[in-house]
Amino acid sequence: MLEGHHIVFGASSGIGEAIAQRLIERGGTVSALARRAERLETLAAAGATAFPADVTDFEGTKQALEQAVAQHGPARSFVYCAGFQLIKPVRMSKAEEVRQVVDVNLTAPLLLAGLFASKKFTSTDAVFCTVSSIAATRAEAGIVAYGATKAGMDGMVRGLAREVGPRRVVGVAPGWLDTEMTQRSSHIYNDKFREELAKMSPAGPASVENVVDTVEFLLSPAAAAITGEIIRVDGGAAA
Amino acid sequence: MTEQDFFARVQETLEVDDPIDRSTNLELFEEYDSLGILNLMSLFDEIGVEVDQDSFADVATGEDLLRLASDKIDA
Repeated sequence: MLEGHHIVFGASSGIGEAIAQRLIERGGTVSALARRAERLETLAAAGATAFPADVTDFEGTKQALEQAVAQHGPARSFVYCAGFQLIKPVRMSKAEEVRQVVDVNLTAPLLLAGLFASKKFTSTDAVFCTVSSIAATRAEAGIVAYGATKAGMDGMVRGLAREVGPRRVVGVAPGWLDTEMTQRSSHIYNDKFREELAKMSPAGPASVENVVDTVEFLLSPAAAAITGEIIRVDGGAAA
Repeated sequence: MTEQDFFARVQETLEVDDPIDRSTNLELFEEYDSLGILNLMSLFDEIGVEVDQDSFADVATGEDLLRLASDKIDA
């Protein structure tokens, strides 16, 4: 069981929504944050408390967290699922697009780490779990900014774990998943891509549910000795 | 967008010295490789044309590129 207050960032779709749903099923009290308030209605109906907040607006997000903590008490976990993927060679990438990738994937979790480290916002046994990517360690053309920010996120996990103990800091690094984020790039992730992925994944391509299972484990007492670690969940594609 | 503008954008995107037109054999450019195609996909995205990597499988000439972008080229 995962009772207690969990705060999920980027909860309106994909991995974030699925994790929030799982935490509710496991008895958790969930504060769901996302930019698009209307997209949180399903989770709210399932029992989550919805807080519209854009992670790139730190002050606004902090205010939402203050409300969440006032309502449900210090958090047992921060689960950071907000993400922005840019698939473009660097020469074609616009400055504002690169900044957006950095702001969502790296700056925001770094700033939230400061709140996570405070007893005003979290209990001393709290867990900060981020959703990284195999792009952090497996470089590919066309996703340089995305991969660089995810590598930065992995660095944050390792460094923050040393700084905030006994609070734990962990990450999951999914391979390609069928989510709303990747569906926006269906011209890249087409049937041919999926066939190739299946061939190179000895355990089969990973699913959102596989990632949620791993996050559930990492948040649980069963993972009490795991911190500063990022777990790859990709069916073995990057093995 | 005129055909001339389109080919100017393609030349700029591929960063090739020679002007490109309908008769250009793209395969003679070393810049027309997998990364070049990714760059061209970004250009097509900017001008509002949906393409995927498979769209370029049969693209060998400027004419073929123009056909992909035909909806956005002034008649």
